[in-house]
Amino acid sequence: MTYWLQTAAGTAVAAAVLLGIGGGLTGVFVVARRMALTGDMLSHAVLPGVVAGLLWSSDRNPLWVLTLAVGAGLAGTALMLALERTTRLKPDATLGISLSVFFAAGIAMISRWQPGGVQAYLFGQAAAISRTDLALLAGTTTVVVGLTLLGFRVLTASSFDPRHARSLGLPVAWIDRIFFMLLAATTVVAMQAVGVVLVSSLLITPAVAAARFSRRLGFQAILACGFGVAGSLAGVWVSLLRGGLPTGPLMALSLVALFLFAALCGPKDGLAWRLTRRIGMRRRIAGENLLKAVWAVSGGRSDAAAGISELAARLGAPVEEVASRAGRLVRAREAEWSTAARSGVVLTPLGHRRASELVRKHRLWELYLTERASYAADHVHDEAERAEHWISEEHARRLEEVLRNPEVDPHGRKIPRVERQETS
Amino acid sequence: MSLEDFLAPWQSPANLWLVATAVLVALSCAIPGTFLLLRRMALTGDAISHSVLPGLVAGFLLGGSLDSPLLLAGAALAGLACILVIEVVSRRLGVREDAATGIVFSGFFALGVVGLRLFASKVDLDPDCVLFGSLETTIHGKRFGMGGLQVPAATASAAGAVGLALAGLLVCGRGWATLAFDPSHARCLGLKESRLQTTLLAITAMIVTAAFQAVGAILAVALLILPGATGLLIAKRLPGVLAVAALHALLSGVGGFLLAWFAAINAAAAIVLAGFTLLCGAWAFGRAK
Repeated sequence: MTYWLQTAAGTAVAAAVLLGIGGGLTGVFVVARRMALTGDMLSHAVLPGVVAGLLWSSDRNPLWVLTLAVGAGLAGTALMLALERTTRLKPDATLGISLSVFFAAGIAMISRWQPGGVQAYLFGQAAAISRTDLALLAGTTTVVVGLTLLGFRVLTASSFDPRHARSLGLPVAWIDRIFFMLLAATTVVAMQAVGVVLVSSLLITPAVAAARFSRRLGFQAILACGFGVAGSLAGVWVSLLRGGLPTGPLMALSLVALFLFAALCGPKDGLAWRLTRRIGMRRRIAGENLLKAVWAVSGGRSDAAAGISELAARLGAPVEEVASRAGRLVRAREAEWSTAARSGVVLTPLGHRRASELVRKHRLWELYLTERASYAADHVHDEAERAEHWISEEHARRLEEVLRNPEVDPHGRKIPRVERQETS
Repeated sequence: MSLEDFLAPWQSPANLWLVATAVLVALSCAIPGTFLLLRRMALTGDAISHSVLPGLVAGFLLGGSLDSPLLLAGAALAGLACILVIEVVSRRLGVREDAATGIVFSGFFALGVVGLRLFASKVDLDPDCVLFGSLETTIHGKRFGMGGLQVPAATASAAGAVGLALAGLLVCGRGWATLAFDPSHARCLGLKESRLQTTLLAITAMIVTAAFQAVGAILAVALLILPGATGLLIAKRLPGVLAVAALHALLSGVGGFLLAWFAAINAAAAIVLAGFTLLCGAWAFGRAK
């Protein structure tokens, strides 16, 4: 082994990388199978097995501990399923019972026989993992990752569509059982690093963060491993910087921070993108309303100017804001600052055309609502005020056809014509 | 085993306080727990019991002692904040609810543990008791003179929690029941669904905080779920379920104490194991599915 692995920091870093990969990879399937809280139950239910292993193997052989712990986890799951099948208790209740009762049994055993080394499993000691534990962690992670990658397609099929997988002739029940064993093993080794409560964060958080970047499970798995490694390393790093802070909770917090980052900046449904889209939309609507206001104030003529203060009064908005919006119109070449009146704008031909398009859509929609949807004429303005921003050119043309090229709107005002060749 | 052996534990006043505290803690958890169970929100109780920790630490830093009311307020607020964040994460971000719960409560718990270690000198809270409580030591804490009796603070706060649970039951019990069995009917009656639910969760958070010192975050979940579950296995109607739950809390408190005494194990864990034994009895002899 190389030298750095023998230092405490080196061991912690190696453990963090292994945990990140193992937790991330299994976590993706845990989340896909909607087993997030089952994972949490498992991490509590293994405790009696861990204690038994520590008690009954004199040299505290980690392999024994692992085996007994996985056994206890399976027993906890069996209790949960038995309660669910034979009583009217709901899955949330049976899960909670199994979790807390097995944990209580573990605590009772600890308080009775006080085995050494149990603290690591309760609170996690990523910074103080021994070399045998590290070897076990490496072995478990290799087995888990190897089996998962070998059976990736099979596991995917049985996770998303068990019936389809069964119809393909896959042994779904066995796949589930093997996955469960792998999950239990991952849980036990992860416990040593982060403690009993925070195992679920090591499993779930990277996977959920990864799911915000891609819908493809393979890509999610790669990303989740990356997030898991990054989060655990960040936890180790912070705890090295500030000695005395527990590594496990710091890992969990770093993973939560990564999740928040993913939630903010995920490409499709990230909050940041949604927010920018919404702001852009609001800006477009404000611009279109201003365009219409200019059109109305200047009486639909392309040579008359509209004063900013007049526009502000009409829109019910502060003068400064209207002025800055007018500046945006000028930059979009839809208007020009007027030379005649101070602080006013004149529509350019482009702006004039766009304004009359908007007015046309507004009035067509008003007409459609009164004629075809039996709205009263004095109820349609607000509806049209909203709809004009969403009606496409195609939509407007259909409305014209349906209404047989009308000349006036329900209030008797002229519907502006728009030359078809000119429309963009 | 002779009669003296059975009478021995009842001789010391400390043990009597221990039993009283155990029964009161179990009773206070049983009432909101039953309604959480009926609402299929047992795991929300789990999330709350983990997430009160950062609130406890913050309350400690502000209030300065274990008996400060700020502690209770801070912890209850943290529990409610956790529920709120879970809702935001699952509704707004489109994360499935189980995954959202897992992320949020472990994040809250991690925050609490880091805070506990960061301010270890100022926060007098044993990290061990975060996980499994220490009923045995809490009753040796501060004592109040009350009608000629020296009542340990832990017992008094457990009694307060029972009072709170009973008050909640009297004021909102009907609403909670309607909400649990028939949400649309509750809406027709003009019951405020979100307000009732928030009250239930707030009461749960406060009671779990009171129980936290005695039984810790994880075993509190058992005290929330086990009595109601036993009630559901035996009784058919809600008053019956509540009565069985209360009886279960009483028996598991006393039985747990005896188990802890004779087997020399942690009292909180013993209460849970006794409660589970009772549940198994109900499972074997109770109503069929």
